[in-house]
Amino acid sequence: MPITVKNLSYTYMKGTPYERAALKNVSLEVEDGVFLGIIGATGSGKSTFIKHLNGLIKLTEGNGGIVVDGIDLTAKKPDLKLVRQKIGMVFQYPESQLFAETVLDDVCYGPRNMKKSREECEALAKEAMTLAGLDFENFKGRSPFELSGGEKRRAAIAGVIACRPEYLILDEPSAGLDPKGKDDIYALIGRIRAVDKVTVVVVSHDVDEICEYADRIAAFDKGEIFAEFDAEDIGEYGRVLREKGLGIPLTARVAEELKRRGIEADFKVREKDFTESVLRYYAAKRAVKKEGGGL
Amino acid sequence: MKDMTFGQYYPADSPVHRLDPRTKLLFVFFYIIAVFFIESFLGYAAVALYIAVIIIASKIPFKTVLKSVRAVIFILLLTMLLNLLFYREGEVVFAFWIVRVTGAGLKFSLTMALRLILLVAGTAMLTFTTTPTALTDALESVLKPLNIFRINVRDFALIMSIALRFIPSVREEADRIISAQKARGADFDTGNIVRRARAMLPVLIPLFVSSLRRADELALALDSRCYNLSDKRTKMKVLRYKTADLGAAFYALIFVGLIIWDRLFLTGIAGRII
Ligand SMILES: Nc1ncnc2c1ncn2[C@@H]1O[C@H](COP(=O)(O)OP(=O)(O)O)[C@@H](O)[C@H]1O
Ligand SMILES: [Mg+2]
Repeated sequence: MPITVKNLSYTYMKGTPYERAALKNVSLEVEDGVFLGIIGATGSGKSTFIKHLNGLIKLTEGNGGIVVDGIDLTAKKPDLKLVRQKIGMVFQYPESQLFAETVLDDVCYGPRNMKKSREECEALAKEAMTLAGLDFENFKGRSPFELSGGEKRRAAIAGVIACRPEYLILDEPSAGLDPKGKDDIYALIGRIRAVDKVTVVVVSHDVDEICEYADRIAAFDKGEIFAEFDAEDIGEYGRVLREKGLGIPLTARVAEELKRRGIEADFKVREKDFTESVLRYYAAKRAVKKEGGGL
Repeated sequence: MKDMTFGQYYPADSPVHRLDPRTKLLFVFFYIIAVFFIESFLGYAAVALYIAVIIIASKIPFKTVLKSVRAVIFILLLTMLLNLLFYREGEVVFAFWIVRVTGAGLKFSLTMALRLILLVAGTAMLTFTTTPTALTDALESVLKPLNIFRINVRDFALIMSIALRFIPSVREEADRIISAQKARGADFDTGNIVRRARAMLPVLIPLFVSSLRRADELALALDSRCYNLSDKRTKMKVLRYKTADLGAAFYALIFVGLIIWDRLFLTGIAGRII
C-alpha cells in the first residue's frame, strides 16, 4: 500500500524567537514500487518532510495526516516500531551512525533490535552486505571505521536494508562521494529494487542525478511542493525549476537548445536513452534524405 | 532540537541585553553570593522580586524563564527528598515506618529548593541576554588579572568560546544519530537503567568519534589561520562601559543591603527573637 501525506505542516521551535515554518500544507502520494525523487534547494524542507514519514517528528493535531501502508500516524498511539520496520531510513551522511566493532555487528544492529535470532541476523546481514556491494567474507570482520568513504556509506546503508524494509528512503545518499562512489550507491539502490520490489524515495538537490534514476519527481521550495511530474517530462518545467534555483539536467538543456534551433523530436532525459533518441533522430533524418535524393 | 536549549541566547531589544557583558557577569556573581547567604523566606521573596524586575526589563517571557527551571526539576525534587529524609535535627513532625521528617528538615529542604530555583533563573537570565561571544569576551576581560600568575586567560577564553560554540553542534549531531538508530529499531525508553544505558552506546560511540574528528579539524583551521603567532591580539568589538552600566551597578548594590538585612534582622540576632 502507498504512503499518503495530506496537508502536512510543521514549524520548528514553535513559540520561540527561533520559530521557523519548515513545511506548509504539503500533500503527496508515494505509490508502490515507484522510485520517487524529491528535489529542492537547501533548506526547502526535504529532510523535515521525510522525518515525518516514519514518525521521527510527531504529527501535531490539525497539521495534516500521514498514512503509511494503512497505518495512520495521526492515531493516538501509532505502532511506530512497525512503521520503522516497514520504512528503512538512510539519513544524510549515514556513516556517522556506524558504531560497532565490526561491520557485521553494525549491520546486525537493526535485525537484533527486531528480536531476530543470531542465525537470522547473520543471514540478513549477509544478504544486505552483498546487495550493498560489500563482499561478506572480506568485510564482515573489519572495523567500520577503517573503511573508505564510499564503503562506509554502503555499510551504513546495508545496516538499514538488513531490516528488510518495504520502503527505502534516502536523504542525499550521494553527497560528498566521488563519481564512482555515487554510481555505486545508485547501483545498490537498483539492486534492492530488483530483488525486493522496494519503493524508493531519494532526496537530493542534484537534479541531473535524480532524473537519471527516478521515475517521478516532487520539487520542494520554501516548505511547499510546487511541482510534481514524471522525470521524463522535466523539460517542460525548465522555467519554474530555474526560478526556484534548481535547473534541469544537461540532457534536457541540450534538448531545449536543439528545439530552439528548430530540431524537435522526442528526446529522452536519461543519459543512455538520450543518446539513443538523438541517434535515432539523425538516423531517421538520414533515411528521409536518402529517400529524397532518390527521387 | 525542538525546544530551546537551557540558557540559549534569546534575542530581544532590551536595556538588559544592551548592558556591558562584564556588568552582567559581576551582577550574577553578587546574585549567587546573595542567594547562598540569605536564609530567610522573606529574603528569598525579595530576591525573587528583584530578579522579576530584571526579567520584565529584559522582555523575555516568564514562561521561557520557567522552562529553564523545569530543566533541573529532577535534581530539585531529588535534593528535596534527600534533605527531607536525612535531616535529623529538630522536632519530628511526621513519622512513618523508618521515615522521620523534622520541622527543621522541612525548612531546610524548602530553602535548598528555593536556592536552586533562584540560581537557575538568575544564571539563565545571564545567558538569555548575552551572546556566548560577548560572555567569553567579558570573562577574558574580568579574569585578566590572573595573567600575573602566568595563567593564559586568552587561551582559556578561547577554549570557553569553542566549547560554547560547539554545544549546539554536538546536540544536533546527537539528535541526528539518535534518529538514525531509532530508524533501525533502537529502543531508548524501555527497560531498566542498565539496559537503557547500554542502549545509548550506539549513540555515544559515533558521537565521540565525530567530536574527536571535529576537534582535529578545528585545530588545523586554527593553525592555518596562524593562531598563537602574536601574543598581542586586537579585538574587533572592544568592550566599553556606558552610563547604563553605572545604573545597573547601583542596582546590584541592593544585594549587599539585602544580605545585611537578612543576616541582621531576619535570621540573625533579631530574627531569632521573632
Ligand atoms: N532541528 C531544527 N531546528 C530548527 N530548525 C530546523 C531544524 N532542522 C531544520 N530546520 C529548518 O527548517 C528548514 C528546513 O530544513 P530541512 O528540512 O533540513 O531542509 P533541506 O533538507 O531541504 O535542506 C530550514 O530552514 C532549517 O533551517
Ligand atoms: Mg536536508
